[in-house]
Amino acid sequence: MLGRKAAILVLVAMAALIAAPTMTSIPSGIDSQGDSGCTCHGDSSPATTIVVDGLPENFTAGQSYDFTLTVVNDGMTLWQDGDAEAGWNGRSGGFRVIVSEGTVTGDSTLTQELKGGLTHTTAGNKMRSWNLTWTAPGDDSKVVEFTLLGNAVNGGDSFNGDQWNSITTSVPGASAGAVTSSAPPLRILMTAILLSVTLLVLAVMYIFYSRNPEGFSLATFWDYLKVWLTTTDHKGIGLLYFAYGFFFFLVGGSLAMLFRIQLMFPENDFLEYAEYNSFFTLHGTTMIFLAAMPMIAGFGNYIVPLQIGAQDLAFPRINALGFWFIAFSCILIFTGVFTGEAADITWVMYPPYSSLTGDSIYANSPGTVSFIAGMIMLGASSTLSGINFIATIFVMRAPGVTWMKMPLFTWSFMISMFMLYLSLPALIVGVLFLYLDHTIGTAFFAINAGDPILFQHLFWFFGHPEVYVVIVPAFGIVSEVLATSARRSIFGYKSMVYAMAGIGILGFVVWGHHMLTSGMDPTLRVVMMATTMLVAIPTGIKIFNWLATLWGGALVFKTHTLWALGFVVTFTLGGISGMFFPVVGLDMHFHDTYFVVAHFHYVLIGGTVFGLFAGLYYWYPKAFGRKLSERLGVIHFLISFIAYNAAFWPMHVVGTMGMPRRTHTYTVESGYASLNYSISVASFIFGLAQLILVWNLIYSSKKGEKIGEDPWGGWSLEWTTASPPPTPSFAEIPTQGDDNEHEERGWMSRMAARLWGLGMNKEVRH
Amino acid sequence: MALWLYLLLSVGPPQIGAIMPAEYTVFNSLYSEFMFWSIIVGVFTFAWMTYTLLVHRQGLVSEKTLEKLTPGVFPKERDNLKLELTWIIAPSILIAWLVWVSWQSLVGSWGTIPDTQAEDTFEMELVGYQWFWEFTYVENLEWDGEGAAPDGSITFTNTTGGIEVGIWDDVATTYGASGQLVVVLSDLADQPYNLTSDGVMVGDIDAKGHPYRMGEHSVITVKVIVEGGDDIILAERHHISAGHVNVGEAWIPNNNNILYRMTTKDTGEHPAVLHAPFLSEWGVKEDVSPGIWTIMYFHPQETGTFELTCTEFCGLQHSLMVATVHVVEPLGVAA
Repeated sequence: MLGRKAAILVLVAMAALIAAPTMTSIPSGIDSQGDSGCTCHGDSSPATTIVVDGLPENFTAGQSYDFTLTVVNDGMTLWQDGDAEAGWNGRSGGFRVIVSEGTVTGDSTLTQELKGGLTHTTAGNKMRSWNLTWTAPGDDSKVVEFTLLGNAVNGGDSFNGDQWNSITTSVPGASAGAVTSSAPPLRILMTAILLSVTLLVLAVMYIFYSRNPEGFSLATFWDYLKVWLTTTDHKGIGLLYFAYGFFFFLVGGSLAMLFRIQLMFPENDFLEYAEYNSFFTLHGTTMIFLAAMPMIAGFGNYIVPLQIGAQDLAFPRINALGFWFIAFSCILIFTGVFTGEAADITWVMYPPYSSLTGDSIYANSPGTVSFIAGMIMLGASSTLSGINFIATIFVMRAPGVTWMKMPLFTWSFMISMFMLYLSLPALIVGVLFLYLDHTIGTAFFAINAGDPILFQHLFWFFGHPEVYVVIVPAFGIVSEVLATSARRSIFGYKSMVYAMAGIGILGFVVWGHHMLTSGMDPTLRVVMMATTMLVAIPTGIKIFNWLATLWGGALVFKTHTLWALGFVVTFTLGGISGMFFPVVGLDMHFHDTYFVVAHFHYVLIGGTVFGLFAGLYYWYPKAFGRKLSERLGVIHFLISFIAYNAAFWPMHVVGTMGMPRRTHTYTVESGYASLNYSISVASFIFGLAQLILVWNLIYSSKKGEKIGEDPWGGWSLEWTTASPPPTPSFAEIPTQGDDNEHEERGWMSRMAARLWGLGMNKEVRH
Repeated sequence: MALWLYLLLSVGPPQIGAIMPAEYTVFNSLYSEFMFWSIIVGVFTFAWMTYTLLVHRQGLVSEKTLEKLTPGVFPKERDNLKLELTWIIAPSILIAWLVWVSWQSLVGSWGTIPDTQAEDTFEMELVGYQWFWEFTYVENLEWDGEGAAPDGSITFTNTTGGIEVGIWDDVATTYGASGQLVVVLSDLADQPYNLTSDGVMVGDIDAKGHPYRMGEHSVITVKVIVEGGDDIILAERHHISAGHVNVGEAWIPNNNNILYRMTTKDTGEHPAVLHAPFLSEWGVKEDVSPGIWTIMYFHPQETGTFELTCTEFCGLQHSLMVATVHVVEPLGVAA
């Protein structure tokens, strides 16, 4: 009873937090048509006023109207200097006019057309009032927006000391109807998300209702929900993690689709600067921390205990705590989205930009502080998970599941957790320092007092192992799927383990390749270059071992097989493109261009996501007792695979051409337009194709083909349990057999067995 | 496989504008080397994969010959030491080669920072602000702009008394009829400064005082003012003197080692944040960071106009932080 009241209170508080505007609005002199305002001349100043005289109330199509623009600033002192030669240079004012329709012209010596607007010439710089003419467009049902910027110039030698301001005005046409303002894209997105969350809750309620219509009541529904909210069973938490991760995968994808609309055309203004910047920030953080990692944790939670024959993790309640930390961190991460003030510091959060305080247009957005706090929460969650899994895999393996007899997914997950656990302190420390810099004014990364580059080192010391954390479990999934699909055991089991361990270790000494142009010591750059290129060797071992696994096998093309094969293709391509980066001479060109974006999407989507999809199609039947529809699965794969490559391959090209990352738009002259257009279209197709998967998940839970224990013919222990497994998963702890028992063991194997006696059950120590 | 061809082809064909840094850059030769090996590795891997997918399939291979997969039993291990060693050693050799190539390219292009005292090193300062680039000239630079007059018919000579502009006969006759021929000196601070008196001048003209102001970008233009039409520019001499500060635009000499010393500064409204100037024509960028000076150097071998973009996120108008860099044929620099 008390628990329910507390839960309702929390929900109300959450809703209030999300709905309330976080801070005062940012004063914005920036116009979304791409015009910057006279920011080179300093901040806008209320001391300057712009007076426009002569524009009509309503315009007639095609008519010309003469008007004047006057910059009024009586308080401005014209430049005077002790040195008589550097006195007032005769300049006093500047202006710029941008119209959404029609053309503005003026005297040819005093004004000039420049990049889509009318501005002054050097000669026109000598006055504060200009006579201009506006020719109305041919369509008088439109409402024309005027942006008029005026600068009161003090006539000194530099741009400092000038005061500018801007006004906007609109002139409706004679037959213009009522003006409706369009809803900002951000708000549409957030509304869609809230709506889908509501639908989700209703759907869960309906599922519960349909099981027992007579017994349905809010009380029993709450009892049903309570189980989910308080479960500490690894299967329950695994499903929660995966559902959460998948939901945010769709959220992150929607964010991406919105900014792909923005990038579809050159000089587009679908998203404002602030919106675009926070969209890509949220997209990156969501995809890595709120989507990829929870989905991986979902698989790890569900499958690893089953594979090692354990009833649960070593610390079930800490496991649940870890999940709920991630679950609530999304509120902190997304703070400010409803008012367009979400964090805009990029997912890597580099200071000094991320630690600037204050409210100006030069500083980061107000949602930043909460975002950084959310990152600390995420760090806490992952640390707890790391401890949990390492302990579990070390001490809770069933008899027969010795170190070198563990399934490769468990191996991959353990190596991943090791990397996560060891690299997290750097991130947490870095983010904590950033948080303190931002809130109580410490100077860890402050300009001239601290070192902004220190953050980069701390972040990437975590950041690089982090990306291996998300890819290594995918390696594990692909190993399992390919071996089972080829109806063979994996080729080179031992070297697969060593390769993953090698990748894990090497991953800690390569972080500098993210900083090759940061002003780092050149010697360090060469070292990082060498170590990074070494990573290709264990990765190559794995790829060749997968191909050798298929060789001579009897491959069955199920959906999970297709995804695993797709993984091999795209991850190989991503790995090859990754080889271009450690070369400093190449990175000097590629860094922070779309070539980087192409590479990491190839390894993150083409690697991690494809691997997770393979795992989803492979293990969904184990968790739900029904197969996912093969037909829908194949369609999902084909459309996704083709659209994905069509979207991300051209990014290599556009990046080589020089298109920078994190840019809100690009010019017509740059030549990036046609590629960006096709990239956007392909990415929409890819995004929409995921809805096929959503439908498959829902449809198959009711109508999928029922299965027994082992639909695919896998060998690991999870395939000996019922589908879905009961709780506890094993009536009694099983013993894993070994078809190699009668094989002669090599000297390396015997030595390893003695060395790795730690944590093994005594009965099986050789 | 059509998909593969598409992927391959999209790397190569010409697009609008430059598709990658200039041919003479380090980038280009490294790129060719790496692309070559990438294609070999890729073709090898995908050919192997395609073959096995076509041939080693259920129905074409009998499962009876394979390892048995029994749930709950670790299957017979498969390995082949020779094969595995091959694909450890062969890639290692390739990687060692590629590391060597990359290292040597660094030694070649970065081995020494260009000697600032050398004749053919041109040093400049670049400061990044939110959201514009400020170039400061440390050395003088002089070049000739485009002009309609034939080469040599208009000369600019540096003398102790100032610049002497020589306009020879042919020019006066050819163009004098179209309008009034004037010589104008303009720079940021002054009004355009008409060096000629009325009428057409032939022979030397003495300039008044020191025409090149310190810290200015001065332009001496010889042009014909045409009544009711566009001016015809006959010749143009540009001179940027050390100390000149320009926002958003810079001129650099061709065939020189260009050395940029860069940083970012706090100016009250404009806090210092990270930026990274990027010249995609030469494939060079380097972050600018507050409190330290970083450097970037490259060696242009062609004239033209190129873009300098910002490639480190710096806030709201990061995408608008574009500067223009013109490479010009320098003349022997005057004091």
